[in-house]
Amino acid sequence: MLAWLRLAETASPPLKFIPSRRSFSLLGLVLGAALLAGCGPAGTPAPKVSAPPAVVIDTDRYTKESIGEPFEGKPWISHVNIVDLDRDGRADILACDDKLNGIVWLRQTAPGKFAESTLMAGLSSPVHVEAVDLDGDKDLDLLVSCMGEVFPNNDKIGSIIILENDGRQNFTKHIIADHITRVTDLRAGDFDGDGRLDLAVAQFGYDQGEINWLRNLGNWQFESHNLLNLSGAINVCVADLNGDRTLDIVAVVSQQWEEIHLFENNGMGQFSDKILFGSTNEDFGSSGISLCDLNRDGRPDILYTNGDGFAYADPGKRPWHGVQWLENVGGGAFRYHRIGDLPGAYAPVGVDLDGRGVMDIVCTSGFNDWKNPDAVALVAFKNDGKMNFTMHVLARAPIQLITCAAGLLDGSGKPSIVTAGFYSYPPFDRMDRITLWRPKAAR
Amino acid sequence: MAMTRRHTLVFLALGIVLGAAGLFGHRIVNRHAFVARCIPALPPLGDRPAALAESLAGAEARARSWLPATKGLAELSRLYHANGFYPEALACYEGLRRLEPANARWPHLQASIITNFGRLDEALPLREQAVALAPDYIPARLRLGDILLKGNRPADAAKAYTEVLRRAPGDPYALLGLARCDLTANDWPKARERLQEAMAQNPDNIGVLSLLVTVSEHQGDPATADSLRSVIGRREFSDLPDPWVDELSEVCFDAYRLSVAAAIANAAGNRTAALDLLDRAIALSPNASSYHRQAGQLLLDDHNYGAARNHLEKAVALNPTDSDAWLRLLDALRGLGQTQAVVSTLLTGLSHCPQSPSLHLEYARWLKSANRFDEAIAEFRYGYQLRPSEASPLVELATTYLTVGRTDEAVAALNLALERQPDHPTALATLAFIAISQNNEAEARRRWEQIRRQPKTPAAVTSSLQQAYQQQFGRSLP
Repeated sequence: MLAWLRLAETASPPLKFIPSRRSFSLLGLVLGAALLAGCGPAGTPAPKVSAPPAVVIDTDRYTKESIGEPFEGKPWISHVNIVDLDRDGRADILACDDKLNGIVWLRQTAPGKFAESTLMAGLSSPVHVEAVDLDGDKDLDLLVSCMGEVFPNNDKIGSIIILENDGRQNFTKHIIADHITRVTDLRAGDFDGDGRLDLAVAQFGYDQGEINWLRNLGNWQFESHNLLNLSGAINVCVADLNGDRTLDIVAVVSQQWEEIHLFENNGMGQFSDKILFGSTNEDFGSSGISLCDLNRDGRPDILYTNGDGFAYADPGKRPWHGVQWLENVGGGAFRYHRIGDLPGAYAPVGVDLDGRGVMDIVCTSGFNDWKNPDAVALVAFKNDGKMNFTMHVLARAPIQLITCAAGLLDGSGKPSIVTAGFYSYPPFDRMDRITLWRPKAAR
Repeated sequence: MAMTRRHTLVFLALGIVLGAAGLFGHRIVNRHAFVARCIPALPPLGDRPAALAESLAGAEARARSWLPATKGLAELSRLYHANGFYPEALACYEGLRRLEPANARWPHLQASIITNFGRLDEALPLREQAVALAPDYIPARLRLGDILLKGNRPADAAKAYTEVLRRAPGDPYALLGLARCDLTANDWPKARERLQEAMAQNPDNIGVLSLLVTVSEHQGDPATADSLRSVIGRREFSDLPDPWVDELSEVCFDAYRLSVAAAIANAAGNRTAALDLLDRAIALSPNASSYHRQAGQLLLDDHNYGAARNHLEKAVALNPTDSDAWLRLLDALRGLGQTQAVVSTLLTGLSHCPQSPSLHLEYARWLKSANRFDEAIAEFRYGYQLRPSEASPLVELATTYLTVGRTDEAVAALNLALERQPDHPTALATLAFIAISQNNEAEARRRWEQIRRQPKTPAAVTSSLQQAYQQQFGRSLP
């Protein structure tokens, strides 16, 4: 450009700028090119819409069977757990029945055959039961979390109950704490290294809630230590999560917080809190966590569902409901991975469904568009071994499932699944109380 | 051919005009081609309303035209975002960010979708970009603070919240965020100070009040905690207003989403907006009872019983098994003073919803008020069987037993109620009255101790108890 101007100046008298046609055209082109430079996103690749993930319809995979007592009305089973309670070599099923306000035991009397009995009634809205030998007498005691009222309530009506086993599955009730914010989960672990099993407690509350650990002083006496004061705690899980050979606590907090907290233990019952994950979507709908070494690297990972649809308007699904895992990368650090979308996702369970040596994930839907007969109720996210997951639809009914467990229940050597229904909003059809899903013969 | 100076200037001007035209044309061609590549394929619309399909088609046509292409793409992004087609909306926003790199709205809206799915690491740079482009748009800064706090970076979050306060003094969400940062540092007094400041300026922010209850309890101030609890009542936390996101509901054609938006608007105190949104939901889905029920509830809260009745009658006509709608309709009729209609409506509701514990409870109350005590007792018992976790039907059953002199049964029912809800104020107070009337001072004092720890006991009840105790035992309660 400058060279051209200099040439023009030497070829023409001063003040007589007479460009040729050729130079005029060139001027236009140069001006145009100069002005055009950097004027738009030409050549940049256009954004792409991600393709919807593949879904496999796999509804023939399991045989469905209602187990336990027949029901009338609307079942309210808030939790199921698989454990060999009587240590007879066969896994049994424990359930929290909030119509009965009690804990029921479905004893496996023969492979795949169950007989139900009530272990303890008169509990105040029990919502989680864990079996552990808390007193070291070689039988399984039951840790029972009682909300006092399942539906929203900010009163201090929760309680922590331990049912002490006499070795013959007769239970004595110990009230460890009552008149406290509503309790949703209770797990055991020796947090202070004194040889006694202590407790980690999630207290949902409503506007106020908390997460505590209770030091076991012996003789069914416990001393409470606060870890976090936020409402909406749903689950606490216990494991060595940072690889320092002491038991840590991880908890999910819902309500408006929507966070997962790791409480790292120094081995003496002193914990430091850090947030592993948090959503800024206050309607994210955290619904549960569980632990599982999903990638089989020797470190426990966190499975996490968000599918609670009990907010604002009528209960229902949200587009962001789904399943994710927090990969334990060591040293107390975790990496977030979304696994897939699932309306109303609840109760994530890690299980090797096919005996392939890779962990799959089973979970349920508690809040879906139940008017749509194609809405899914039970799914598996099958792992290809490289941590790529494909959703398999296992069942569309019964609906409104907020709990499930997986284990060896029918003598086939392959894991079965147990689900249960909690029917608190319409529609009140396609109901079942406790359902056993047994794998069909060789596929 | 020699040219005059005038000709030279004309040619020069012409060259500039042509160059500018070339530039303009190139930009249009370039932009048009880029926008065309950004337009996502139309997703399956299923049973979505025809109006949505028409709006999408119109927006896409504008996006494919020459001059308003960017505007058309922006319209398309709004429609996809508002109606839950998030992958399509994200593709539009990605294109819009490149077309209008100085517009903060695009990274902000893109981040709002990504964060809804929990992908905060991806959203963080978008939030930072939005803040840089629109430094005075407070929701963007608050969202940035929230992401940093949830990402375990409380010091950086505190900086973001502090910057909000510099621009919007007293912002309750910034103060709430700062209080949470203080709590991560275990600085409870500072957190309390911030929350009190927020409450002073925004006494209705439930998030602030709720955390202040927790902090007050932690600091050994149960009186403040109890007082705040009563202020909170059953109100729920509402998310911060974000006009760029909130205005998307203007182009929402999904009735359920509109109903959720209405509930959020109502929780934020904007009932008019909530009712407008519900009107649109009802227009889109006229045969769904739940939107009429929701509108009826909002109108009941406004004491607009006539309008509430209209909606609720439509709700039960559309779905006679909607027991909640029947209950609300009873409230509307009571508000209108139509006593006879209440009874007939209650019976009709029960005939359609024979398993509804709440309707049975209503019926039991009516029977009791009509002095049909035996029938009332049977109804209360049946209501309790239908929902055994609740204490209130047992308490009402007990008071009915007392009315007919069946004290032992009343005490049994009250004790059962206390198993369900250990601090039930009416159950405790009734048991205390019974103990006083039976001259059982030890039991009366035991119950009194429980009542004193229950802040929900009405002052009139505690006063009556004190008087009854004084009369019976000749001394005051401690």
